[in-house]
Amino acid sequence: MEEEQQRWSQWMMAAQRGDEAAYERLLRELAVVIRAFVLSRFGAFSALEDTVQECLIAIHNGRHTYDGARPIRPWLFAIVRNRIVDVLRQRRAYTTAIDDYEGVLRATPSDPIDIINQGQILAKLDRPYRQAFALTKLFGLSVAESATRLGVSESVIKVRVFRAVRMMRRHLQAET
Amino acid sequence: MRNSADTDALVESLSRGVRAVAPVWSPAAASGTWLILETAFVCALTITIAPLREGWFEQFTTVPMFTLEMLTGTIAMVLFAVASFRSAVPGLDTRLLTLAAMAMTGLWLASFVVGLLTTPALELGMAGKRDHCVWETFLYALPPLCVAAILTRRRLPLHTKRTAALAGLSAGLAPAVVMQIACMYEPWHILVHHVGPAAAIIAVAVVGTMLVDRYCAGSPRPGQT
Repeated sequence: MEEEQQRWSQWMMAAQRGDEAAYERLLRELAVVIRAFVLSRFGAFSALEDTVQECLIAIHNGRHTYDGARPIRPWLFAIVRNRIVDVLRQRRAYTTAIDDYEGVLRATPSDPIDIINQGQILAKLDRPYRQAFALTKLFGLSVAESATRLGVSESVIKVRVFRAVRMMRRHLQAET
Repeated sequence: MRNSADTDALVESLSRGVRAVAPVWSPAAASGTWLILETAFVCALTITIAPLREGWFEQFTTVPMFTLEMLTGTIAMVLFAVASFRSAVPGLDTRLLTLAAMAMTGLWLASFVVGLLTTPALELGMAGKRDHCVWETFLYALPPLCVAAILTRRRLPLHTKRTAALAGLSAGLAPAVVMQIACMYEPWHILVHHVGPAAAIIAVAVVGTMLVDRYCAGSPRPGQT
């Protein structure tokens, strides 16, 4: 890990000087690492690649803040954790996500929520919050559709999603 | 729905023609520079409007409780400034700094409360009273706050309200501390007319940041390429 950190740090400093090749190598490695990070904490969901790309863009926009005298991992994962929560909180319902949800339902008889329960962070949430978050943010249902499915009011769904995001942010920050 | 091929394309796009960027100043250097300029600005304005309280230097050098008040307020101002600039760089821990700053602020405020309830640090009087110290305290803090907001947003604050609040605390404390040697000494007057506007600056900082976050979301921040 120390070797990896030094490698990333050198590539990032080279990128700050405008070195295209070093920057490309760095981003390719980071894409793999971030993908694995998101998978391990949230499980597989339709916006996984979106999230990876949003993290890479955030790193690109913030590369001027990296100080080569400091370890790169805390800097990097602070950006990644923050961006993940922002992306999941802002995500709206997409038609493709709803299609995806239907596909998941056909593919497995079990509750699709269980599919993403393999994600560590989501598994830490209480079931009502996990369900509300997963249905609206990961499977792309509207608030009204999620409320109907769970048998609660729309305002309850909104509150549960808000609290789920807040709890996930705390769990992620506790990892530092 | 995007896939990993799209990510590969994004990586190529970001790295092709990547522009060299000048790393930002360290939080210590940036906050130190800002503090020096802020202090000079507040002092210059204060002295321009009206002179400092007569005898303030003798009071500062001969009355230990007053010296302690000035020092705790000044240290709190410095610590909040450093914490604000550190909080604008991802991955830098600011918890201890913020706790220390709050402890200093608590001591500073407690000295006035103690002075209200028992014996104040200095003999009470109207000497040095300024007619508009409330407005002076509030208005003198605004320009340094705006500069701090621009400088911290050039970095990458991940918790913008926290960064803004810390900057607001430092910016508000500066004129409040200067007023302790520029205006009359009376604990209740200090709490209402000097500390009160400093607290209002924190609210301005946080609300201002919320408005910028809401209406400028998606726009590149200063310093982004």
